[in-house]
Amino acid sequence: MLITKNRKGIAELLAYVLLIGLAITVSILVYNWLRFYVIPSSAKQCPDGVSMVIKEYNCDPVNKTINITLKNKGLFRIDGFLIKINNETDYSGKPQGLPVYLLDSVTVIDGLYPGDEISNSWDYSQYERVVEVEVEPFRIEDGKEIYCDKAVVRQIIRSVDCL
Amino acid sequence: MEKILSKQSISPIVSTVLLVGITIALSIMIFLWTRGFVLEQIEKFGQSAEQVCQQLNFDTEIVSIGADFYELYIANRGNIPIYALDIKKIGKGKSEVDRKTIALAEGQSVKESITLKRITYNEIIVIPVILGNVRGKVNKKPYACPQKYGKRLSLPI
Repeated sequence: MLITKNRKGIAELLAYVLLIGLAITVSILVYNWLRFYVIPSSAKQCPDGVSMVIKEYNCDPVNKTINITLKNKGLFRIDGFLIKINNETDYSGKPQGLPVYLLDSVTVIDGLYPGDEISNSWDYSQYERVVEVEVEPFRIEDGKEIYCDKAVVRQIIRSVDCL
Repeated sequence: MEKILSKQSISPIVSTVLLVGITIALSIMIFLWTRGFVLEQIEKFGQSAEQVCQQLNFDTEIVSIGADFYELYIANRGNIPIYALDIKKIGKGKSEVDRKTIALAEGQSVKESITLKRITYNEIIVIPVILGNVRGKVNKKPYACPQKYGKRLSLPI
């Protein structure tokens, strides 16, 4: 008889347990759902201070080679770069379109540190001529190439030079 | 007479059963309704596909090579591969989307020939498509980025 009379307290406790349990469950569900949208970017990106310049270029129209000297003008090491060329011009002789032909993908062993220069010759005979050169540096992090899209440099070549 | 005067409502057990039943029924209905959205969430690199679209960086240019013939130049500058491109052709009072299976790896550039009727269309929007995973599943699915991440190009004469 005494036990039956005291059941009200248990029911109240049960209600609190249920309420708190429900609140925690809903919180976990909402957290897992929202986490997907607000998770910070984990994709590796090139630092803003990466900069590369085309210091000079020379064409050898006989052998169809172009010699390019590149300099790291930024604050960070560069591990390599892509060299692309364009060989098309419009009616006025200006480069037309984007440099889409990949001349080479160069990985610099030991890296190219700020102030360092690198020079090399590339054969462009299969593209007939060069009217524009584009260089996109990259860094290698965890074995993966991270392209520095903000450090892309383009150089218009005088059409008479690299025919 | 006694029955008519009885103003007691339904018993607490019935009301509780009804309440719980309605709650469960509503939960099932809402679950079935939202399941379509939740299961089709596409992710890439552990992020929602739209967030990945924000990180895309690509350049495009279009050049005329003859009547109704164009060359589309695309350069993927960023560190996210592009799986395909949606070309939204826009003209007076009409638009149409064509999916071109032009895959662009990180740092890659391509040139693609396209045919567009200049008399019908005067501009295009190049919208990148990325390949993501359906959340919670292993199968991959293409995700066309929202139009705001595309590049609008006027067709040259």
